[in-house]
Amino acid sequence: MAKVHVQNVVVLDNPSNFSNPFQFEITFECLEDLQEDLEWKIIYVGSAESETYDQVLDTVYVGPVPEGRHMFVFQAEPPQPSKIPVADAVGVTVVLLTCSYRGQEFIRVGYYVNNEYGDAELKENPPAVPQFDKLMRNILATNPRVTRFKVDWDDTNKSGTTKGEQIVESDGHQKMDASLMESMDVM
Amino acid sequence: MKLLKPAWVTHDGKPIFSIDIHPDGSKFATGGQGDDSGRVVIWNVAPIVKEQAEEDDNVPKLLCQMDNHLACVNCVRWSNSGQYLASGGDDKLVMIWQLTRYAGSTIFGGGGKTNIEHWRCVSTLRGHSGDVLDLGWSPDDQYLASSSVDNTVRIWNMLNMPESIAVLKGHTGLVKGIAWDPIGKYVASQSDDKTVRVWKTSDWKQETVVTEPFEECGGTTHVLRLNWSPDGQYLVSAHAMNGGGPTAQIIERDGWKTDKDFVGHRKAITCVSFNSNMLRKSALHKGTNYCCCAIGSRDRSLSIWLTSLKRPLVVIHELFLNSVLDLSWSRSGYQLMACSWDGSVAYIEFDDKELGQIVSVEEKENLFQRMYGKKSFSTGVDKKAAVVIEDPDWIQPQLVGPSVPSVVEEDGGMLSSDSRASRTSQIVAKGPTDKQIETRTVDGRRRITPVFIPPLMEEDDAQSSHASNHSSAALVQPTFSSSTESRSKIVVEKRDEVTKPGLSSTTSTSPPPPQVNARKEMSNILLNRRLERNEPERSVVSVKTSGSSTASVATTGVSIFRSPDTDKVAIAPLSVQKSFSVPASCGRSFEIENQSYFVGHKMAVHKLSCVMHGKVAWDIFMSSPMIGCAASVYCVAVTCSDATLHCFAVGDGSRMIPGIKLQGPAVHLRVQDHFVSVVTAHGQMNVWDIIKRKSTLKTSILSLTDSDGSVTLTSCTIRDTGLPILSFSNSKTYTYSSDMDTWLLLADAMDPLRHGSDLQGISSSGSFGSGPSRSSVINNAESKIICSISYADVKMSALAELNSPAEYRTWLMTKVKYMAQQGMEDRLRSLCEDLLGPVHRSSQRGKNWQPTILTMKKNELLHQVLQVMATNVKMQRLCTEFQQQLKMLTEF
Repeated sequence: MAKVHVQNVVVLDNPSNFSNPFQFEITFECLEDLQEDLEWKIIYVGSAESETYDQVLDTVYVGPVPEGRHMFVFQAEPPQPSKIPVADAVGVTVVLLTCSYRGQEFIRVGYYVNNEYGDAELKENPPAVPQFDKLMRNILATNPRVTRFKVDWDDTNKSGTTKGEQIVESDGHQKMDASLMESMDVM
Repeated sequence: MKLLKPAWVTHDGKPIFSIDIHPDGSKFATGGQGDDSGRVVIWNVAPIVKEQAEEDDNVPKLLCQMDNHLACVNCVRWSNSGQYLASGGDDKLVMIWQLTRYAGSTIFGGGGKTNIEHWRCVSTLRGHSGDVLDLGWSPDDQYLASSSVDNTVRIWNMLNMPESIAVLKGHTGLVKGIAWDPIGKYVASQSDDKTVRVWKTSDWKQETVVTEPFEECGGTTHVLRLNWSPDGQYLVSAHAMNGGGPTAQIIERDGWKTDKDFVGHRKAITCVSFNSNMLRKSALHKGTNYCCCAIGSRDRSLSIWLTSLKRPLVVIHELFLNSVLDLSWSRSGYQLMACSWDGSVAYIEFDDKELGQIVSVEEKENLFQRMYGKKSFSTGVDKKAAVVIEDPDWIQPQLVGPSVPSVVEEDGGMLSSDSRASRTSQIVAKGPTDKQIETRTVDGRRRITPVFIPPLMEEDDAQSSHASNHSSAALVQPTFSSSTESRSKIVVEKRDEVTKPGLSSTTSTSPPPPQVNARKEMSNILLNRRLERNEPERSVVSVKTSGSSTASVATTGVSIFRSPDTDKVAIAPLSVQKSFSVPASCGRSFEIENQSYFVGHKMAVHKLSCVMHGKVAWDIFMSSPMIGCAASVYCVAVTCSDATLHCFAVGDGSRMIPGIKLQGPAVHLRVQDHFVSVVTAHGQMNVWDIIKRKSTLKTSILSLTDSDGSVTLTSCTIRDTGLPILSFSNSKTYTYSSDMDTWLLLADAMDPLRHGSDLQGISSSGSFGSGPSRSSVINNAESKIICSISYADVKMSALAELNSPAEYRTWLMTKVKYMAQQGMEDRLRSLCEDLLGPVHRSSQRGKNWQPTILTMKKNELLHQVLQVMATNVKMQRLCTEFQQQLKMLTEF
């Protein structure tokens, strides 16, 4: 059983300018004292088409983590515009918040992010070259996609680098797709 | 009969494998499959029973959802007390849940569902090597039995979780059902190996195996939840076969005969559940009691039987679209719930005309007494049947006996104090509670120490109900808001220090992520959407921002009060420091800054500030530099270098009394509730009641210390009476008796008596200094015991002075135990005589005899003393003598 349960993530300062930092306020419960730190990451998906455009915005260690409920704010710099394909700058993309223990990722929270111009004129006639300073970022925070992975939490097992086993079943994905369609229709 | 299928009780359409109604009838639990985990849900009963409540949005439906099991949950069972919920699943684990009082919170990633109650996993029972299929609590909640795909039944000690005390091996197939005998003598299990086995709880050996009715059975059911009738007479199995048809086999307790069965279902029977009450047709029909049993089957129907009728009371066909998987009767006896593979549940309500009148608990007890020779199921009579006993009444003390020595265990806690309570009451902040601390690691990455959110006290009982008019939904503020425009309110303290991340070097390298799929999943959907729309860049996200941020950190109402006890009785008074800070309860602290402002030439004022959660609540200026400060929840006291004492209300800083002039500079200051105690450099000790404005003590403590100042005061506690308990560095503890006008020695950790006794390492409470344990010097067993008795005597007299009945009793029992062990009949007799009091009114002794000691009735103490004495069979004559006299007295 997972020793750490994410109870809530509040997306702060949202919506916001594209150039503002990301802020996630994370509440989690830990069932036993952890021997090692948790490693949290924010990954910005630059383009849905290729992982090569993924940007790790920041990585932090969180620790020490004794048994109990904890809360912290994870702030990360915005993505570097230069690394985002021109075609993907405006529109919907994804930001991922992940947490690992002993190098094994056990939870991944995905949010859809919409980047669009605040200015009505630009909205109608988007410039060929994206003007990042005029982009607004809106994270669809009410509908996080939470995927949990089975990892080896055991401190006694020193061979602990077994790969995480994904426990999402295939029908789980189908369901996710279906509900996602609904949420996309809202967009 | 009313039948209802509440559509809102659902695991999003996935199978519900188990259902159980809480003993208080206010809620029920379901277990089954969640989105990508096992799921346990606790639901409110009120919206099912009352339509009005169902429509009222203020009445919560879902109370708590726990997605902690990694795989499907096959069984959920409440303990008989209702305090715990046990859940077992395909992840081979059994989890024990207990209600805590965190505020409700939204289930993260749960699509907006809110937890009204917070159930926390207090223990995880690991041991099974296969899926856990069924669970059962013993009638007294002492044990939990779990049955598993690994062909075993495990017995867990619920008084010491997660201890597994027995593994019942014998089945050669998946064990799919567990049932405890209501008398507590047996536990039964049914398996795919076509057997029902009955195990004895006295030694966990197999009592019998029943095979004949199951020979033709195939392994076609997910579960085989057998059950025992409430009178203990019949065990009813799940899937059995008789003449080619599926039946529920009745196995009689008397000889394990299998003559009768319940016939009629068309497919295998999955679950059997007896109403825990015994019933009768009406009050007139005394003696003709019967039981009521519900049977669920794979044929999707449910039948209800009364043992007084040959045909079923009612059969409900096609109740579900798929197999019935579990049944639960309410404790009240007129409500039944069922759940099914089709993901729905059914609720059926009966009335007394249909089922009959419920036989009262007293009558049931009497019936048990007649049938099994004991009133309740609380103790297993058979456990020590081998001991030769002259009188049957001796059985009870023999059972209670072994628990008495455990009264005196290492930490000196009283037996009466519930271990659970003591565990949960000690809530210590395990990290910063008001800010997160950020440091840098060697490689430049940030390391965050998160804000610790202290839990509230765990509820001792799970009695809080969500009745129809309960407005808990309104009370519990939804703490969830997934998005907000505001920025974080958490204070981030960045520290300029380099820390090592808490990682072991072997695993700090990230392995190739196998989870790329999850990323792919989301982006693929994005791509698909774009293709469909042919208009990739124009989609608009509409994001609702709701609620306000909840960044403010909850603080508890637990008042842990600490004052700096490090001050010593010494010749030198406290020195003037420029500034210092004293932490206090409720997130407060008091900060002192001497010479904070100069008001004239070499004239300064000195500031006392009350800081609450990082904000200054109030400031006060003082005319003389402050040297000491202490506070309680009511009152903060400061002593100044001009030998004065000042008291202020904690709330607003208003002055409670004019400055008190002390005889000399203060060296020790303590505030507890409304008592303020001061020790001056002259050795004068004063205690004042600030509210009543009275002195409760004025005396010297010089006699308690050495003249050379080597013995120092280490702690001071003020009792309710306003008299202090002082501990010194020489391990001696004193209190003051105002009646006798003197100091009394309460305890001495270095007492040779203690070291000579068996009782080393025992310290009765925190107020006694406990010295280092030394190995015993006395090897002579007899003198050791006498030492122990003398030591117990010392303790008892001290505790009598301290007015601490529970501990007094503990030591009394310890003393009696040793005296009984040593066979000191005369001393025991005299002790018992005092506790018994005069048997005859006219007797001489009667005049001065007090019937109580420390508010405890002496006769009741005697009863307990006799139980302890009874652990030594040599004492049984003496015991019997006093037992008879005690009986005479109570009858008289």
